[in-house]
Amino acid sequence: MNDEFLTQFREPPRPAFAHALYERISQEKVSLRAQLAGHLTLRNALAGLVALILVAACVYVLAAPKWVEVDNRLWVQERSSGYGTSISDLPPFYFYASPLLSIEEAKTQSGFEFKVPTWVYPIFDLKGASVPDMWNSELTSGYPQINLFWERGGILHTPGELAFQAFYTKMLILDKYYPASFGMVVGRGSTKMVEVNSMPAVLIRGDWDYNKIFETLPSPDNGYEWDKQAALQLLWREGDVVYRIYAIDSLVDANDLIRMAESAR
Amino acid sequence: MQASENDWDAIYAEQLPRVYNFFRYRVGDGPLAEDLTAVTFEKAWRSRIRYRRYLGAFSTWLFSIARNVATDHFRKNHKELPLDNARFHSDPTLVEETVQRRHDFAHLLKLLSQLSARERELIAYKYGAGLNNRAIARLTHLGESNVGTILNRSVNKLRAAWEDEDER
Repeated sequence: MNDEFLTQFREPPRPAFAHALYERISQEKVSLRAQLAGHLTLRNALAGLVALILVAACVYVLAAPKWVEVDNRLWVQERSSGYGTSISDLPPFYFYASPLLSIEEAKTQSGFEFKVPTWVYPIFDLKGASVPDMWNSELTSGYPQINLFWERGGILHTPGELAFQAFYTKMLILDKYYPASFGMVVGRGSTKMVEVNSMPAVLIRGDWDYNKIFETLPSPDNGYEWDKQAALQLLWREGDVVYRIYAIDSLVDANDLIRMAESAR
Repeated sequence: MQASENDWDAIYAEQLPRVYNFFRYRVGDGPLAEDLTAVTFEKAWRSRIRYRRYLGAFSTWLFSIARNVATDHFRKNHKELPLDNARFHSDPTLVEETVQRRHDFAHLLKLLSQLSARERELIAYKYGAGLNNRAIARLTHLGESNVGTILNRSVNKLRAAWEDEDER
């Protein structure tokens, strides 16, 4: 298509016009820059700072551990990952020993006074007790402790389906015991404050995935997860002794655990 | 991405003649084409933060502003081609060649004024600004083949009229 008759009239703009327009826009550039600088030092900087603080606060609220203080020497900390889990948090069945001791033998070996439940859910039978050797066992928390085990009758039983633990919360340092606090790291949203004989206690629903933890001992990964179905735990303190009831059987509910705790003599 | 200040100088140098000629083909020579060009570039500079490179070429964006400027102008003035104005600005002191060129351009503008508004707009994009059919299609929301058809028909009409005038 011959269209030279149409294109031949194109012309460059007059240099004076092109220059004047460029100058006009350049002046606007300067004033815009000044405007922007003004915004940055005043309103924008302030708004940015406030936004930063809000974001930081949100991140802190969502990610920071939540402390639940049961009393002044007993606490749990809710976390979204299992980082910081200590050996004292291990499920009681890791301390299951064969042969088990009688309760009287456990009292003698433990070296501290502790109470024993007088009521348990009827389907369980007391199997015995264990007292981990603080000096010769890899799995000890540094607290003297005893573990009592019940098992469900029948063929399909698992050692430690129901366990009662007592920790003497005086830390042995060199050759002396010092008062110590006792704490556990648990999953986020897993705790509920309850009472045992009018004393503060905490109900914990679930447990960490210990299969993963033990694969990586002695330096557990940070990536293990909280399993809300794994167990039901009750934690409270009387004097220097912290007690924990740990149930992995779904037949046992929170009321059973509290009743069992309140029956301890 | 937005058009940065560094880009701006290059864009200005490249696009100014195209926008200017787009308006010349719409409103003729003279201060009006310069004024509308200036308005277009000032608007583009002020709203450059709204330009997003991934949405299309900068020239398309710039010409969409030019199109709005032209539409505003015609809405206010109800007159597409100030032909008398174009003739008036032919300077008698210019050399003969320039005078002839001005005369011919004024003649082309007169022929353009006989086309429909859409045809005139497409001619200005194509032969004033030098945009290709695809860019014109994007600007005018017409199909690319439709743009080609309209342009072809318009150019044929213009050529016939142009050659008639030459023969006289």
